[in-house]
Amino acid sequence: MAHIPDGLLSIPVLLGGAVATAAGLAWAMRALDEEAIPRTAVLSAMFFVSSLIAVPVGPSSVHLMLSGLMGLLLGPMIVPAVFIALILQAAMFGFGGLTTLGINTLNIAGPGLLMGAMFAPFVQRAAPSRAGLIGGFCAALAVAGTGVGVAASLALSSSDYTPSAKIIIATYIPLMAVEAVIAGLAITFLKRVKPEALTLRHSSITPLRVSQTTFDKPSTPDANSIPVDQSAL
Amino acid sequence: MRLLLFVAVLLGFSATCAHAHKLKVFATLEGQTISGYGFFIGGGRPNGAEVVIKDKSARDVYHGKTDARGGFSFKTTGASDYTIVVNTGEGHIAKALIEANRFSSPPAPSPTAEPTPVGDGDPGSAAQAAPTNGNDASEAEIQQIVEIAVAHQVRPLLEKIEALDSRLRLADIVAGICMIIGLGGIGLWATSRGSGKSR
Repeated sequence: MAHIPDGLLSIPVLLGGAVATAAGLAWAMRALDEEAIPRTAVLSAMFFVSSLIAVPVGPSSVHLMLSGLMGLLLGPMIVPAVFIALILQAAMFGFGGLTTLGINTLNIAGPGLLMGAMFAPFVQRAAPSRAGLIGGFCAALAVAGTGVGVAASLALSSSDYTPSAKIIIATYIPLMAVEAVIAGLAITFLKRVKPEALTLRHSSITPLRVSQTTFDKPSTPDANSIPVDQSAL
Repeated sequence: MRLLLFVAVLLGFSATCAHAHKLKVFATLEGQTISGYGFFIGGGRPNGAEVVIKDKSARDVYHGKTDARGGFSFKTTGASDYTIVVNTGEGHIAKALIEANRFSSPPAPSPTAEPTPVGDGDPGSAAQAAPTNGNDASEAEIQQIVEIAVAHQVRPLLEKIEALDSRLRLADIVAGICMIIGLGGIGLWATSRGSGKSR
């Protein structure tokens, strides 16, 4: 679903995805923080494994992406986390492809980053059960974002591949529900036992700022160098 | 963090008995009929997915939907490079190619045409066809019957090979996880070196 294989997309779509992903990676690497690395690696491994497990739904089959959860826990580091896992999946199992690496990373990490950035402040302030609800909502929206991204990538490339809205809705709605439950439980649990895991400590890389650049102006990450102390809110 | 690691490992082990996620198409030729099915690696078939078969000139020669078992079947009109595209309609698209050289010679050539198209089929079919010279059935007919029979026998093998090729191996999954953790380690080493800290 989110792993679009080689040979389907048009050059502009592939290039657009590659440029956006490169900008996201560059941004995340610039803001790289030692303490974020183990967390990124563990969530990347989780994404790598969980997106291999697919469940048949209707005419298709779906797999978890955990992008909303990753967006909340990793902020901009979701981009390298997804990118590395997708490289390995393409190389080892032939899922997705090397030319579509950029657009696939954008379709999965982009909505996770955006939704994580939007909802992280609320999750940080809320009580555990409420934070779980917000986290679940965030995860569902991230999945919906991926659905829209995949559909747009295919539709922009060739009218032959324009996905059917009905089938997309039929397959993504159950996935949104499952992701919401998983993210909700995970966030509630983390909020109870390790609330600091939900606080991105480095204020200069607040996900809110990053998401704006990645989506509005992917090729100009310089505008984000202004440190904004979001975590102090 | 330890909890996350635990969940990751748990997911890793559950993946051994679970499914992977990629649509593939199995297609084979029996006589003049292309048949096969779409399947998701690890399990599941695309039920009611769109099937389009295009010939060499990219002209659509067949439009249909997969049956409940993900299957399709199409009787071709002649040899050509046929591309079979199965599209579930939400981003899963897979292709398979049946090349023109897999088609046997036209059904009713002149009987004098000696078996030049030997290279077309399997060597076994050619070998079986050869000793039948001079029988009442024409050379071409016998060749066609043999090819259909061989294709019929070979089909389960081809399906098995396709399934083996599309298998997720635990070793690969574990290797992937270890690779990511190793990259994390390299990242930590690099950053601690860069910042001059010793952790």
